Amino acid sequence: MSDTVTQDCLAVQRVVQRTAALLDAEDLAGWLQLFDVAGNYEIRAHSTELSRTMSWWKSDLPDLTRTLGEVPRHVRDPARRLRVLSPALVELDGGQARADTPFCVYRTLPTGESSLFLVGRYRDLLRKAESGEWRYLQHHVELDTRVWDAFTHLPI
Amino acid sequence: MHAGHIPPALPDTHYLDNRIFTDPAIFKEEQEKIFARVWQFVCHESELPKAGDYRCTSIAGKPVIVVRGDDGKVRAFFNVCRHRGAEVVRQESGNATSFTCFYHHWNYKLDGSLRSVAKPQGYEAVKLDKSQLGLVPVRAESILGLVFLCLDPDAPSLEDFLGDIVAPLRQPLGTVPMEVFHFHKAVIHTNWKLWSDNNSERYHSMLHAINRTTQPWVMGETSPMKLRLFPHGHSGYWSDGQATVAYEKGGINDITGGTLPGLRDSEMRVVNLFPDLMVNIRSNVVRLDRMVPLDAHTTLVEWRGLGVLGDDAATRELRLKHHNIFWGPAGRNLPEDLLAVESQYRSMSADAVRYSILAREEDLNPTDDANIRAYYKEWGRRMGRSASHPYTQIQEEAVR
Repeated sequence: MSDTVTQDCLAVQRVVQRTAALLDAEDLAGWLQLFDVAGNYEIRAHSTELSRTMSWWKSDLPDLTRTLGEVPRHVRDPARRLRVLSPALVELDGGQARADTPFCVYRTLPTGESSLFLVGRYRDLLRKAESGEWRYLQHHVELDTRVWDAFTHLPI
Repeated sequence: MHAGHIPPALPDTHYLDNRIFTDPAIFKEEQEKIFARVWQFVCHESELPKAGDYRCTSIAGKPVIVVRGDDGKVRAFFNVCRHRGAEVVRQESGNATSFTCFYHHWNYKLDGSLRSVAKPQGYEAVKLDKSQLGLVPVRAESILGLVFLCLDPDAPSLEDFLGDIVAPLRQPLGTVPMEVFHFHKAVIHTNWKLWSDNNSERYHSMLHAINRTTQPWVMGETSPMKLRLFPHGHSGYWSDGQATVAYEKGGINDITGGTLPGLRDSEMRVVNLFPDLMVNIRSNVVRLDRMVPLDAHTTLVEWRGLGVLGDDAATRELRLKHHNIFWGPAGRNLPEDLLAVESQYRSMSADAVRYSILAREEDLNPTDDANIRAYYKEWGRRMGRSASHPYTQIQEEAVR
């Protein structure tokens, strides 16, 4: 593996790890900056009840920006979320990269009790910008967990 | 008696004893007197499109299979093998040509009749009558694609139970084929009636920033939107005039189109069926809430989103977006609703303040509590006890 390939794979993994860190910190402006201008975000889950894949949140960048701009006006779940990611499996293809990252999210109440909130994978497509930074063309969340015990106004 | 246990100075019909939400004995009684006796929505017919398609669920705590037969008829049975009581079907949904119990291989047809037993010669001595040992049927009827079950053989028909409350649903749900495109569920930490109340009362629009902005009738003193009260505790909320949701005031300008038959663009129409089903329509998309009460403090809620079967991709995207903005698990409204009803349950279970108030009278404007009062009147009739003084009646019954 060439140094460039290795560096690109590591850079993509860093973007995915940074995604989780920014959401954990609720730095939504920073999270939005990880997207390409043509990027989109989606939360999906396969329903065994309906035998089809469902989309629970699907937004392009302008829609994401508007939606997250409303967050301060909402009554919010006071619990904190911690995303724990496995290293992304990265495949490079020219100026694009696919990344597959298993993750889980823990939820900790203000009283200190923690529980497993969600399990799933990030299935992402990134594009290398002229600046050399990797940004999301598609940041997709595929959830295994379909029975939630709390909801969220924030991305997963 | 401390101040938190003094009833409010209101008519008995205008407040609730919060212990109806927290007492396990009352929960158990609800299962027997309400959930085992009324029609309950279990699924949409589009979830069973082909012969042999089935869904498993429970009503009144009892496991049931809902299945479409070879003749196209939707039937329901207890999901219990007549032999030794194992669950005949163990998946939530699927397709089968017959049902074989995994334990001893008794096999049932889609119409529930017992087709065969393993090693039948062993039953020859007792002349086992297979015709009497089919799956135990549960009453199943459909209306507007909504499948309802009822455990009570003596209950009135579904049509009689629902009456005229279905009128506002006939065009949007009954004149085009609909299908479920969204399903999610959550185990919420509250009593089932608190979620039902939240789905019925409009005063809580104060909770939602987006509703305060886009539903002008919530904040006004008069409203073209009106509550509608029907027999058996059913109620609704819609306008005969021109009232619409002001999405543009919330900065939402891209969800119009594909309006369902009988509705105006951006119209909202809500129907609450006793005891637990909400049908909420926002012009081009339908939300169904169904509850499976697990115990006094835990409720499984199922959310379905419906669109038109055969939608083109763009129209389906539109419905999906409209649905998820408000009702997805990461939408504007649902997370806030959940926080409210779980908060209620936590404080009610401590019994610090015993009563809650349903005293708004506003000529059936949306924030009137008349529909909740009607709901608890029906609840009280079926339970044989008042929702404001439930234990007084228990004592009287004990004396009798």
